[in-house]
Amino acid sequence: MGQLHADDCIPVASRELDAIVEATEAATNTIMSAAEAIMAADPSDPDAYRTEVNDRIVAIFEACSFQDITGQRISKVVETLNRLDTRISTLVERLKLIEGTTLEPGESASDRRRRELILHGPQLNGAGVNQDDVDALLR
Amino acid sequence: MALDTSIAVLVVDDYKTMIRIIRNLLKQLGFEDVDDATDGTEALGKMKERRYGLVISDWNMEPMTGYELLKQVRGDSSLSKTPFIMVTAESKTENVIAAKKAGVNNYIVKPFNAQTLKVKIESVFGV
Repeated sequence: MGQLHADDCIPVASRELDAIVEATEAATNTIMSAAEAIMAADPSDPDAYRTEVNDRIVAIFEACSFQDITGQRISKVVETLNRLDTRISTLVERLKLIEGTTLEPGESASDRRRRELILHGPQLNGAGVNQDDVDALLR
Repeated sequence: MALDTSIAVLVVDDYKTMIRIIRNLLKQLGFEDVDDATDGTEALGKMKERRYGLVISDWNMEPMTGYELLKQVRGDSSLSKTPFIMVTAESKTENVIAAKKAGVNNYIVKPFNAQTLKVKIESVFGV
């Protein structure tokens, strides 16, 4: 359990949950703003109306991508909870049998897969590279 | 030179919502012939049955990730030239470098907007 805290897993999980709340709020606001703009659009000029509605619809599609990112963040939190559960269960078993035993968790199969396939999941704000950084790396 | 929107596109993502989003954005760009798969294994199966002019793939999927799919595609002489864009929340530098080494044509970090998708697709085809 000390390892889980030393790895920053629990505080990171907490920040992931905060990020989920922020992302869902931002997406909701974007979608509502787009819907309001569509409702308020002036249909007297059909071409301008069509462009305005189309642009707002695209904004709605873009905003809906929050579901993917938040889903991945939730998966990371669930994984942390599962690891915590496993560690606690192991600790309880060991304490029943031998006092003072050192726990050596080792790398699980899922940890190894994450390491080998470079799976980090969505990063918190400022922790990952942005699109400009990506473009620079690809040049 | 205009973008050839008649090509068949394969969108690979384990989130059906994201497939719908990308499909709709591609439709806005004029791409009508769009197939989808929910992981690399299914995508590879479809690519062996049909020729795609572009693959747009997520990274984090099971049982086969987009990164593994990219390596499989580049390692198969019948598929190796297929344009491949990674669209993913994996935004660590090592991910981008690994994808570049594996032969990705472009890399988009989520969340992204329609304009970014358009620019990156055009860039792949030299438009």
